[in-house]
Amino acid sequence: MTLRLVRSANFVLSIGAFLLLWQLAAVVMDSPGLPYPVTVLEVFIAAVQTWELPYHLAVTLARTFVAFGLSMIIGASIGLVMGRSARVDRFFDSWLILFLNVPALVVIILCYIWFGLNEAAAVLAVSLNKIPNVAATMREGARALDRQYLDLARSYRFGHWKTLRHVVLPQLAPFFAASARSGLALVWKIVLVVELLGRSNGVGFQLHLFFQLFDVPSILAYTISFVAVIQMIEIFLFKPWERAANRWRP
Amino acid sequence: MTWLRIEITEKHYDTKPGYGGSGSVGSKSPSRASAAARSPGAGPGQATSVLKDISLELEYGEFVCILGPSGCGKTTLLNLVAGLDKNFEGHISFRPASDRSDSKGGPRIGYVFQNPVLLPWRTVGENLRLVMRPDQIGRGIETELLSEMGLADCQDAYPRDLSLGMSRRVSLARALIIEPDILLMDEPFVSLDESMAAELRHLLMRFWRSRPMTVLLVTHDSREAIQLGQRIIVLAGSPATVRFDEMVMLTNDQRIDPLYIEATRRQILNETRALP
Repeated sequence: MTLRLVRSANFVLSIGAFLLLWQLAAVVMDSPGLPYPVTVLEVFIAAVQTWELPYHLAVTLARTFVAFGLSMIIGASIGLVMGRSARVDRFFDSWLILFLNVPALVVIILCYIWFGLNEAAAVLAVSLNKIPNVAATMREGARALDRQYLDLARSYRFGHWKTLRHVVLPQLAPFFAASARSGLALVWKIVLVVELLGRSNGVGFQLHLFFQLFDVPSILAYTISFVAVIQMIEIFLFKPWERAANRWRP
Repeated sequence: MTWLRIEITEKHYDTKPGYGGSGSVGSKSPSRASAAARSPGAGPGQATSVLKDISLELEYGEFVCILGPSGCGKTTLLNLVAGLDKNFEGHISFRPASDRSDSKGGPRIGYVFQNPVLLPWRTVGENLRLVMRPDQIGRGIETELLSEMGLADCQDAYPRDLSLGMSRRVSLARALIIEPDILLMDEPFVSLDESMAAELRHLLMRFWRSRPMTVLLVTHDSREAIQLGQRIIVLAGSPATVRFDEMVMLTNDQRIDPLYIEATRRQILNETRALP
């Protein structure tokens, strides 16, 4: 209990120090390029009251989730197959390296050119950027699977589904968590770029608008609120899931 | 009537034991050429095989102990019988049990591995429920069996909290709960203290007497084999062949008498030495 108290006091103190530093810098610079924290807060409240910020935030979040989910499922499947079959791995290894190194911007531009400026192309572009990362991480996990548990599953005739759920996935959980963590962080940043380039709503689109107006307080208000939402997901979704998945560990 | 027929002309050393053809991925499996290179000077097809010319017939309900020095291929033989390794010359066939309606081809196999191999991310109860048939679930069979084996309080524990003796008991419970036609056991009592091992042997005999099942138990301990087995098969050599295959004609009282055990040991030793 006291530990928790110390921790939250620590958190408040560290945030307070950051705000103080920001305020000082703004006072010293005295430029519209760096507004006071209070100004940003006012802009934020105004944007919430008009429902503008919640709307664009929700749109971006929806894209982030769909793209994240798609890339986790597809990437994990590819990684699993590559990690379990030496032949497939040898064949597709160079493909994976290629896709890992294609710049995100190129994928986005090509998707828009090939599939048009639509929602599907946007989500696809984001997923394609993340899938190789997930596949590479999950491949390591699949390679490290313990043979004796697979033998157990085979001799007791678990079947594919049961083996996957009770034998394979629990061993992959740490790799899953690692790629989900880095995945969410990467995906939402790419979503912003996708929105900037070819969508007419979402945080990325709004940021583009504010950039043209040199509206720094709005840029900061949108950024901070989105970072806060992603932090909430980390705290209230990922952490509890990880705790549950690691219950069995000593 | 023969229930299980094992005919192995040759089992090469080309795959890791327990790794069936389809499973050998991720790591490079040594080729036959590299296996031959491992033992230069040996004739072709000699040192590259683990098992050679093994022909055994088992009846349903027999308790068979397979005895042999460590590393001679006993585990490989069990993996072949379990169907984990299909990469060998010969065939292993079970006569279908006619009295069972749920059999989807093939016998029910309970395998007690050398390590307990409990899924560490599932509780003891879940580990048992995972192998149970759908019609067994929800009737509390696992609770009953666990308490019968002195593990009543362990059902919700994770395997990390169990001692080695308890883990081995759970592993045995998992094999028994499926009501196996054949129970394969790979050195199931190794690295336990003697009283714990004796207790587990006693438990095993009780289950074998109460319900008919074929038992194939692998051990390097001849005393253990004599205590438990109705029939003892000795594997030895490289490649391993059957050196001895006889029934043990001892009463239950004689089996726990050190004098009878020693006498039988000497007899087995003499007969296996006499052979080339």
